[in-house]
Amino acid sequence: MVTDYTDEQLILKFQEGDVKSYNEIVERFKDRLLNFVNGYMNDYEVSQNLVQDTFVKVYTHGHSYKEISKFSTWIYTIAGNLAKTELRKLKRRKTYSFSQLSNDEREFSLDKHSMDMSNNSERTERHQKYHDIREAIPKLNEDFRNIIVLRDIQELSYDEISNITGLAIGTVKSRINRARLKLVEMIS
Amino acid sequence: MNSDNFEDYIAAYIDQELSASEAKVFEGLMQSDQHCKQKFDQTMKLLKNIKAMPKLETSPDFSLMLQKKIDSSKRLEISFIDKISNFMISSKPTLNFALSFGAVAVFTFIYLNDLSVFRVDIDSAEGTKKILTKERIEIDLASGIDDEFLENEDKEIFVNDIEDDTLGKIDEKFKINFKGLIQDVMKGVRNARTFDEGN
Repeated sequence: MVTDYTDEQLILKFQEGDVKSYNEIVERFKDRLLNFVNGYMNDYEVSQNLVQDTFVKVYTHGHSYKEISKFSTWIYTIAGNLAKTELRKLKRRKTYSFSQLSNDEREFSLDKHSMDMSNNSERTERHQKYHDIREAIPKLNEDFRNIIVLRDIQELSYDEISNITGLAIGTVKSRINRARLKLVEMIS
Repeated sequence: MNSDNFEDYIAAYIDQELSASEAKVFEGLMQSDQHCKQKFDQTMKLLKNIKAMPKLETSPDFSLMLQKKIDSSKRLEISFIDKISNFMISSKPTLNFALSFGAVAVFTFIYLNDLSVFRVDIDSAEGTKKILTKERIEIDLASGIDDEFLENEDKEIFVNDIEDDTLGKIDEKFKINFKGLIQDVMKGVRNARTFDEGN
């Protein structure tokens, strides 16, 4: 059964041509990656697209995975790089600002903005907090954002975070405190 | 550990990575310093909220959309030549003409300027073989050459090392009749001496 295999065994099987192993990888990682990428983008549709792009890359470049690192480290790195590239693109496109939108477009934009959070009046305090956190994380600087997303949302070990970010474990540990306090400051 | 660097130890305390003595100091600071206590409480509240945040799930059509993306990426893997030929076929006649004209202009320029960009490098292709463009054969007549030497010499001297594209036959032996050449020169010298002695 492919469900019994480890992530590393699955990708090796896929490298040998087993498509069932690829499907199992997708099942295991799709939601985790969505939450991970959404930490960067705070946009469900964009995040889902990026997760699909990540899996396309795994499909087309699966042969380039070497068993020297954990598969999760490899796939998170791919997804993180795609998210960073997308963020850079979005920053360049920011010239079309909200103030330039027509009235209809503004209404549409506001509707879309509040869609995830349901009706404003029904929103509970707790939901507001979640919303604030989701809004604030992408606004953190890149170093802090990476660590918050990987540690607090994805709950990865310091060792894995160190591999993904390329930072020393000591640096990751010292940054996590400052990143959390910065996030507290932003949402309060 | 003190009030100034207290925040550096918050994560280690939460992850239970501090030693027993360090943990005591940490807890002591929380009791004695309101600012430290506030930082710790805010961090814990944030972590609680992050943990409680509902996790996002992919939409039901996620796999279907993924399959479509994989299929389209496969279609994109057509060969470079196919891409060029498709481009040439689908592009406008004016563009085709411009590209063809450009190609002809480049080839003409190369030809007129004798740029050997397409010439196969014989030296690198054949390894150790080298083209000898100049071969100088110096005949020292100052000390004279006696008839006995000339008679014992072979009538033909083969020069195997001369290989020149301009000769047209790179690997053929190129023959020079040195004996005839030297005899002509000696005859000229003798005639000149006889002429001088007669005068």
